[in-house]
Amino acid sequence: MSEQKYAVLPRGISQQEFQKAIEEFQKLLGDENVLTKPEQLVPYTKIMMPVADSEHAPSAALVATTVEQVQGIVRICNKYKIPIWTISTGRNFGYGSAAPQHRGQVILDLKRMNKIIHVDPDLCTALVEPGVTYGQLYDYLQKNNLPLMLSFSAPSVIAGPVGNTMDRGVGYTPYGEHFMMQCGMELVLANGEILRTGMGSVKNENSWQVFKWGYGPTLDGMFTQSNYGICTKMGFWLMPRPPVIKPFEIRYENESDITDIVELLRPLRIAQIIPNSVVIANILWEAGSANVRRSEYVTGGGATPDSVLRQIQRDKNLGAWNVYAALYGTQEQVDVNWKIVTETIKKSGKGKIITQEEAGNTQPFKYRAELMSGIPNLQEFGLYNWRGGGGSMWFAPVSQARGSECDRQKTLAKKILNKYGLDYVGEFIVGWRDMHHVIDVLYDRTSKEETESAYRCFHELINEFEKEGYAVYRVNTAFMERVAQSYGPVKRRVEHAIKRALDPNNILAPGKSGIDLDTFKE
Amino acid sequence: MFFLKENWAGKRIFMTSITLSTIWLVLFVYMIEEAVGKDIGNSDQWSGGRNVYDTICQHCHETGVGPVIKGRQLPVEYITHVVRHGFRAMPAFPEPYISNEDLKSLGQYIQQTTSEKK
Ligand SMILES: Cc1cc2nc3c(=O)[nH]c(=O)nc-3n(C[C@H](O)[C@H](O)[C@H](O)COP(=O)(O)OP(=O)(O)OC[C@H]3O[C@@H](n4cnc5c(N)ncnc54)[C@H](O)[C@@H]3O)c2cc1C
Repeated sequence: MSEQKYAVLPRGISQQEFQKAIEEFQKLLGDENVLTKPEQLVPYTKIMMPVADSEHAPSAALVATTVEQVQGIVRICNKYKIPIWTISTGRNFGYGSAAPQHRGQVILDLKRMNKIIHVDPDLCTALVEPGVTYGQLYDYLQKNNLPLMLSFSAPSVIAGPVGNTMDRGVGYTPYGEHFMMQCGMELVLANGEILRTGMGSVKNENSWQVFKWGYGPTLDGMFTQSNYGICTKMGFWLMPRPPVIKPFEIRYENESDITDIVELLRPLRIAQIIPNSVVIANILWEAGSANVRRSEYVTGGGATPDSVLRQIQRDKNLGAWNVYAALYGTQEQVDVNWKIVTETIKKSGKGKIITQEEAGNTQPFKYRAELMSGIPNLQEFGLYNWRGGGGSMWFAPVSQARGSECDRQKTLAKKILNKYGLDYVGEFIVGWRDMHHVIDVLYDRTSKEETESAYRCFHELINEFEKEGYAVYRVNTAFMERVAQSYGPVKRRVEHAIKRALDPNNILAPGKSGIDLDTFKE
Repeated sequence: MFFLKENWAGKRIFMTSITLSTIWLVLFVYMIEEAVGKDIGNSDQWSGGRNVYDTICQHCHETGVGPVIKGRQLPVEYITHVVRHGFRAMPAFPEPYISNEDLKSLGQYIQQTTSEKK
């Protein structure tokens, strides 16, 4: 063996030690499931963040197919102090993709652990392994004619429920707050023990997927967006597919309409008249996901002028804001709610309603309607055609579902983005009382200048929003430490105390959400 | 009583409520039997390159999101490279996602396709 066999090593680990660990991994998993060659690792280094790929390059990737193998992996990791970064389907685009939080971590890839273990059509529950994709689950429901419906993130075809829920992602149906619909987890802990949350630890139980809380402290939340365990099974609830789904759009002409839109929608959403995670997408989100390219309108870099945005609005028949919502139920139920919705909008004096019959197969209505109906697609990737160059980070501050707050956040974000020559491409995803204000910080990653601007811009977005009392709900791996600071020192101390108790060797995903025993200073 | 059941895939099914409840009953018995078994769905391996294309690639490459790749006689090596490295906004797919064998089959499938006249 040459001295420099591995181009990338875990932090503080020598070539020799790493070689020994790799040999043990090979013995456990078979040579073919221990990926160390550059051509095998290159897919894991594809990121969209404005930092060098090398900062997030893994040293190896391990492919496990059983819970016992995952237990074996943590045993070896403890022995050699090897940090592992777990992915389920690894499609965390704009949040770090499949790459580890920092250079040298070993990827634990659970994509091949992809069994749909259980779907109960009476109780409307599912239990799956981490590698299951939404696409796979959708095909399964279709093939077996199960009258159940999925809620998923927009990259639905290729992403999966376990990874998305572990990162507390969102979807667009009435079950769109995915962690709220999660019920029961199986986790391999850093010491190799297996924990089942909720009712899952009771001998001979059969209520693991129906009762979330179990007894005593409810632990599930602690394992999401964290690094305290490796999820090897997850239960969640599925919505019964209703006889009627009625998707619709409300189109608004002016950017300043956001205040009125939110005030109009909030009561309908909280009262569940509109039950799904409604989306309010701005003109550029709308144009991008309908495959409109910036180069059709402007040449050169910089922020796109408002006059051009208005032109696009006219040319493509889009709104400055575009609300997507749906009604679900029997025809009678939908009719009643439709009457309430249409009368409310009419009374407000603005907003044009577009029904599915009127929209036909046009984008972006079609893909939005599909997302709200549990039908997977990848149309939202069209956003990346707007500027080109494959650079993207989600800036996702939480806002109250209050018109004035949404307007304030939009205005602040747009000002900062434009200052750095970037566009405001944003949407509000309406929770019950909150808004996930999701902004796609799009930039051309092939341009050094734009990449550097995007990096500085993201910092400023976090800083300026923090000053106003706003923080993001989730962030890409390059900014995890910075965002953890926004949530204050006490929370961080508690998180690290838990980490020390559960994973004293710091082997599970150090750096996730800023939790890292090696770098954290009290 | 008649009502219209609108299936999102575009099919329209008219049913009487009596027929409907019978179907539900049969369906439920069948589904319960299906669901109690372990490991009920596992699509570990793709069934060839065409299956990978239809399940994943076409969602972008036939919708205007990504470029058309069928009918251009793209070399297998090129397709393999792009799938493993990604390209700009196109994600990279590691081996556990699409095995080397399936990737080769995918490349061959795409290469031999002829352009579809619309
Ligand atoms: C165009 C576009 C649209 C998007 N729209 C949405 C959207 O609507 N909603 C949304 O939520 N996101 C969205 N995303 C972001 C992202 O792509 C999705 O959230 C996606 O579902 C996450 O990838 P995944 O499901 O493969 O999870 P993974 O990448 O497998 O997992 C995500 C993270 O969770 C942790 N994790 C994963 N598995 C485990 C495990 N077994 N044990 C412990 N920790 C684990 C890891 O930290 C991992 O990095 C979008 C991205 C793009 C490009």
